[in-house]
Amino acid sequence: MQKLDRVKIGIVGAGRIADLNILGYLDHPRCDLVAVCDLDEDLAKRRQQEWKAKKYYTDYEKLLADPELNAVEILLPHRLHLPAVLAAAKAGKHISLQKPMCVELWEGRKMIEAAKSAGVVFRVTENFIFYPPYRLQKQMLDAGEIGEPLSIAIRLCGAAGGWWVPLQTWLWRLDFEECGGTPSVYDDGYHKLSIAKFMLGEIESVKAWIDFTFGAIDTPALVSWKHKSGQVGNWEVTTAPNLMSYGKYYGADEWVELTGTKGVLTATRCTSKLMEIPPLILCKNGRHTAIDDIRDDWGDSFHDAGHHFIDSLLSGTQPALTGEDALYLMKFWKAIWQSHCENRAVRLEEVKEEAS
Amino acid sequence: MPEFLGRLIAKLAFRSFRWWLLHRSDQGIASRVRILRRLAYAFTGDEIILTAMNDIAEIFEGEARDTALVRRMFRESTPEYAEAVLRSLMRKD
Amino acid sequence: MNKLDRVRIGIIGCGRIADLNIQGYLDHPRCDLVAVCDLNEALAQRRQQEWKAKKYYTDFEQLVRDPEINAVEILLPHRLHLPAVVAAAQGGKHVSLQKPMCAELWEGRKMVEAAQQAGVRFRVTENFMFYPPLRLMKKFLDAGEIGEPLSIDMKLAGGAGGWWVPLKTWVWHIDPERCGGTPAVYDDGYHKLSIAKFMFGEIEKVKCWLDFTFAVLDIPSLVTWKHKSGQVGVWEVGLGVNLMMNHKYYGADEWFEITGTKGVLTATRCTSRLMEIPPLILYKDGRHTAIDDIRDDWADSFHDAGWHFIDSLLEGRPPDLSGEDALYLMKFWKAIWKSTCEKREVRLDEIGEEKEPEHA
Repeated sequence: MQKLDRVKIGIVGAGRIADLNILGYLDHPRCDLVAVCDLDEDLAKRRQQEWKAKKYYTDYEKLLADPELNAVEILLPHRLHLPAVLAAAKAGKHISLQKPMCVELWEGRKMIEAAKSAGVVFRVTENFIFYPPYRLQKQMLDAGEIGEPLSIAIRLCGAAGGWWVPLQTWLWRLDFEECGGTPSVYDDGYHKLSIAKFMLGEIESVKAWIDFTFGAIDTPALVSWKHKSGQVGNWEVTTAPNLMSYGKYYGADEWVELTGTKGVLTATRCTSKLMEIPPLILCKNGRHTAIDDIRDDWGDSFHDAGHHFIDSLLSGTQPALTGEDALYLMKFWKAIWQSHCENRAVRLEEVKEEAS
Repeated sequence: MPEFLGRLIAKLAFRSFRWWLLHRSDQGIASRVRILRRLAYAFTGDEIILTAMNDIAEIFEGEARDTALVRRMFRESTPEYAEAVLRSLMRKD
Repeated sequence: MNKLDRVRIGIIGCGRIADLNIQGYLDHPRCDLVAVCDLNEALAQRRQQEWKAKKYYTDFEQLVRDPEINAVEILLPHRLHLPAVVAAAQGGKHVSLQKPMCAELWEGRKMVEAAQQAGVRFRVTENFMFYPPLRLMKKFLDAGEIGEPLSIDMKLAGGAGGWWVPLKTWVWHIDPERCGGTPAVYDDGYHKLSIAKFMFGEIEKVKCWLDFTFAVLDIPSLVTWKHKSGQVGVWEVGLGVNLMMNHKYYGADEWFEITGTKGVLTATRCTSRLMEIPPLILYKDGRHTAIDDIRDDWADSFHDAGWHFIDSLLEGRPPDLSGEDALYLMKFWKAIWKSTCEKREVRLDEIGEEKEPEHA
């Protein structure tokens, strides 16, 4: 893969999450934000000014035809991921696509093939694996700080509060067809599946139990699985409507705990920050060590994900979170849904890619 | 009972107790405490109160320098502190 | 000095604190509790039964002549320390004396000399330096975990609550004549002075400010000093009259913090336990390490102080907290008192030992 000298990026889709995805592109010394694009012209113009982009578009086909750009960040509703990625690959732009990858597995496959035949870099952005406390957690895990890993426990509590998200955005996410799955276990859950895989590798089988609140929100839910390397994982999803969260972003409190033969490593936050306690705590040998001065803003994970993409393009290496990795996480989700529908344990191998 | 009334009574009780302590003779206090001690024990059955009041009686039957010290302390103490001392005495281990 | 084969101890004074001082002597495999002694015969008898001692006395002169005994633990009011130590030394018993050593410096000097002449071991028990979190703190400090030490901060918050102490005991403690000093900065404070010296060594000079509550309690007070090795120290004494401490011993909450060039070490408790947080916390390099599974009961410090005395006698080596060390802490206190009275900075070498008065 050849190295780029500078990354000249265009942002396709300027909605709520763009506030965070843009962070790494704005302050990288070898990245220029050339253009932004949104169907909503007012929004596109406002973002152009806000981010000091050279130009704005309202049609992504036009943005992709712009020869000045060599890479794009795609932040569109899930159903638009496939056409946007195909068009970008065809136009020869390197692609960073917002998670979750797709609705159907064949769509993901088509994206991978399109990028390959066009010879462009393709990655599916998932910011949690760039969250500094999780990265340090992984580093300490790999360094053997807690001995042999035994399990991962993930908890998400959806609380009230948090930043403003346009109501139309919430609406399409609650629509199973439009979203491609459920809002908590699939859309937001993609992050947690990614963390499980990031920490302990591939998954063998899954068991899930999903309930629905207000007819549309897939909580409370309990997902458990077994990793190929033997560890078990569990992930609990709840909605607490009267729990006010004063975090800057979504009112979502996460907790990731790894237990090993020698100790326990706990990351106490991510999107939101429920308690003012250290972001990462290692407990072993009768003492606990808490990491206090690590960057722990959720925005940092987006920033670092952006830098990672740019640095990969500059050094000519494949970024983390390849299309294949993303497709794997999609299969993980499909297995969860199948387990819920058929009320049984589902092996990941059972999940096949349908033809388009 | 409204809280302010309770506090008022506690304050008055403390003040009259202090007046009593500062103006009665050592022997007079000791004999009163001995009588009260039996009453208090009959009422509460509390060993600690029995011990504490026995200590107090013995202090007042003992050396004048001890009682002078106690009086010095009481001259400067407040109802709040008296309450804290009482609470300490009443606590069960 | 020759090694003892077994320590056969007698306890002189069976009051409140004996409950704790006894602990190390009860469970040491090479120590026998031979006798207890208290002026109050009922108490002496009760203690004898409670601790399964062989005999009891009501006169310490008799106990120190008992040939079966080879060591004594003295837990008497401060003014009785001198006669008891001298009698014990003359009786050929090794002596562990409860802090504070004495009221006057010449008394302490006489004790040291008496022990020396009789060829017996003499130490002045101060349990704080055996409190496991403070010992580990010292170990971390010596291992350079926080770099070069800069300062020590100590806080005592006296509160309500705590265990029962006979009112008569409180009364003599607040009488400066019988106590030998003030109740907070001298009597209880001896522990804190000991910790300052334990951590950073000798003291160069002292400045302080003592106030009085209820005419007799030397609170609120602020004591500051400089160590010969350059570190500064601060010790704050406060009293929360309505701060209830639901703890087993005295309602006294302590806090010790040492700052170094690289980090901070905090011991969060000692006598009482105000908050359920780890007893020792080390902060450096942007992370804090908290020690969770250390023994942290105040009684452990008494237990370990007892074992240290016995082990020293068994191994034939001088125990920590020698008479000279105790005398040094007494000078530290005298400098504090002088600084309070004269409202100025006092150097420790200004404190000379007075001669014993003629009539004494």
